[in-house]
Amino acid sequence: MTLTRRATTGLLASVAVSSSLVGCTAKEPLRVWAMGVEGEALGPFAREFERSHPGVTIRVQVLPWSAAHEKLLTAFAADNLPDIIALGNTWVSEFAALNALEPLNDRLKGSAIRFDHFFDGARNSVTLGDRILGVPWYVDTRLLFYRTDLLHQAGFDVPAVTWDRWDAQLAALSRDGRHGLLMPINEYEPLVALCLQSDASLLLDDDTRGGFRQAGIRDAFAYAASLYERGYAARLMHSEVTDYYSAFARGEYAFIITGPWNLGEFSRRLPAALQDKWATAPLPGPNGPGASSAGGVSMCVTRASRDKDLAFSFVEYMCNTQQQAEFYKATGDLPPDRDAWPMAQLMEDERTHAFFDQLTMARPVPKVPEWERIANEMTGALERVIRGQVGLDTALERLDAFAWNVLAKRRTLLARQRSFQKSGAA
Amino acid sequence: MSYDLRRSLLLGLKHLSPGHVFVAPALLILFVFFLAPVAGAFVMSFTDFDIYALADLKNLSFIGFDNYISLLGSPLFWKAFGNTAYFALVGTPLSIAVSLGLAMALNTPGVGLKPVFRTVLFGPYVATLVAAAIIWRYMVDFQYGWVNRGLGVVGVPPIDWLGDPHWSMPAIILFAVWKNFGYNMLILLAALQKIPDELYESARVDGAGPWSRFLHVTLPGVSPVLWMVALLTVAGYFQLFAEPYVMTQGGPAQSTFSLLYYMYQDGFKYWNLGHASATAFILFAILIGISFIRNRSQETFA
Repeated sequence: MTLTRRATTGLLASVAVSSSLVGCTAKEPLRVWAMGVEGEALGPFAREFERSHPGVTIRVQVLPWSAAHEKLLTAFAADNLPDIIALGNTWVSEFAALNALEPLNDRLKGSAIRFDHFFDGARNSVTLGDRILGVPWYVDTRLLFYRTDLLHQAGFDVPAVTWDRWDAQLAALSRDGRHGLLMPINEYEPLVALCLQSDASLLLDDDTRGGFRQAGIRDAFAYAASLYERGYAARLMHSEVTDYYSAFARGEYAFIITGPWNLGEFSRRLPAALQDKWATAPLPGPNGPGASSAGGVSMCVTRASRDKDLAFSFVEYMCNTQQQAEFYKATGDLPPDRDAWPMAQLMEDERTHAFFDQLTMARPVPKVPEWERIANEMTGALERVIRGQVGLDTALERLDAFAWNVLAKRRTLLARQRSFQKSGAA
Repeated sequence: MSYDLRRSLLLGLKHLSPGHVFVAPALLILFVFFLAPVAGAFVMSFTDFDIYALADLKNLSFIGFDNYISLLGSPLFWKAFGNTAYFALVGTPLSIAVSLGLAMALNTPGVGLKPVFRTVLFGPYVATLVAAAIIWRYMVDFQYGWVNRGLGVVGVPPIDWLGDPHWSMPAIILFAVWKNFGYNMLILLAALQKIPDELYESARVDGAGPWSRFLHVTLPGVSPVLWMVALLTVAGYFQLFAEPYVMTQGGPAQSTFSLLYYMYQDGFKYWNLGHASATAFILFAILIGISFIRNRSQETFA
């Protein structure tokens, strides 16, 4: 039964392959995996690339964000990764640890990609040691989306740039059961962004232990917790926010901390009457405009790719300055190349200009495979503080203990590597 | 030596009956897709298999019982265990009470349109779990959900079903009961129909009221089936996963974080397969334990 089915599939496949061989030269298609709407938008660009490269076929597969991580790891385990992965920046370190990505340093040197014009945060997040493991394709960071009309009604002309001023605005906006800010408790990005605003690093000693008890990080946690405790932010989980856009439209929240993909969504989904009543602003910091996380997606060539030159030429095609501007027009995703911004008229729009300012201040999160796990636990710790289950200092102590456990293997491997290098040098 | 081996092989072949040949394909499939992976997972539960090991097997080491020890010492594991036990031990009696109640209602003589009721009541069981869970998520929404609207009509203040750590598990239990009662109801209905009417009649003649008829005729009549249904339900409920995955992602404050959810997150999200396998085997041990309860109690009750 299984055999027959397999035989039939094989037969069908060989028929399909041989019939496609009649049309073009015998070249395997270049496989590209990309996530979400960007993956869908990639199709037309791939067709255009095929037109200028006769004989090349590109097969784009779109993965849903929610299942992408599992799918990528499973594909690696099954030795079935595609030629190019559009990898979320926080996952680059993980796939680097798997040794699944091809360093692109040499290929970048003579290419049309102007890597040194990219935002520092974006460059930094794909660079591990001296190896560049991907080319930023689009960038994101978290900042404030806010209702200008509500802010005016509350008596403020411009959004705050410091925590103190923001407190005053949030206090004025959080009344009658309303909350000034929407920041779902189990979304770690806003909390991580607040922590990145301090000078302290989240992980210490070559990222082998947590640094959550440092004063700067503690302040960020205390501030985040106080936003919920004072009723400024709604105590909601991500899954409870069932009608994000209409809640913002109804004025239930004046501020939302979110990313660039919502530029397009807000224009599309908010009612026409509200379209001139929302704007964006950099995240307030402890003493002035604060940093935020450098996120985004980068195109990585896998080591498993059988045609790395072709794969890189597609990356080059997608990530050069001109094409980044084009991709912005197609999707609204922000280009990592600073020169693409004026090309796409991004500097004239105040909403995107705020993103430019925020991106210049963006800092990458720790580049270790364990990061996402630790970041998720950060929200767990914060949640326990907000719900009054533990005090802040105990929560942070446990968070350090958690990070210590999670990073145990990394410490062992680094120690082994060092002793190996030492004995190699001697 | 080799002669002996050949002889014993031949002897073995002679004893093969057609039955063996018939079950061989099924056994093969069972071995390849069930026993072998289970054995692999068991071995893996004694290693520190993680993404570093996936990159290079040199990074894999046998760590004995460390996974089990660290699990038993981890508050998160006990939290997940407590939540799962809460779900199973509260959910099962409730689920069976609802199933039995509805089965008895369906079994009442003189109720019309029985096939229609039976089909409608079986509906939730057939519905896709994930789709139903998403709809429930909307129904129990704090502000706009029907459930809170309905409660409001009778004067109960709105409950933050999925946002309050005290209410999230009850909400999930209610959903699971609603989703699963149909199956048990059908089995219990079949058992109820086997109880001879004469027993009820003679009980009535002897002056037994509805409650003592239920206690002395219905319950003993369905008790073997009731136990089977209860234990299957407990075993099923210990494998709680999809409901919190869809409705709460284990939150709020990890109040709906189950053992299987822990295993999934550990294994497939963070790729700590060694650790996750250990969790799986602890769950396995719990389920085996539950099935032992069945054997003994069936003797006493049936």
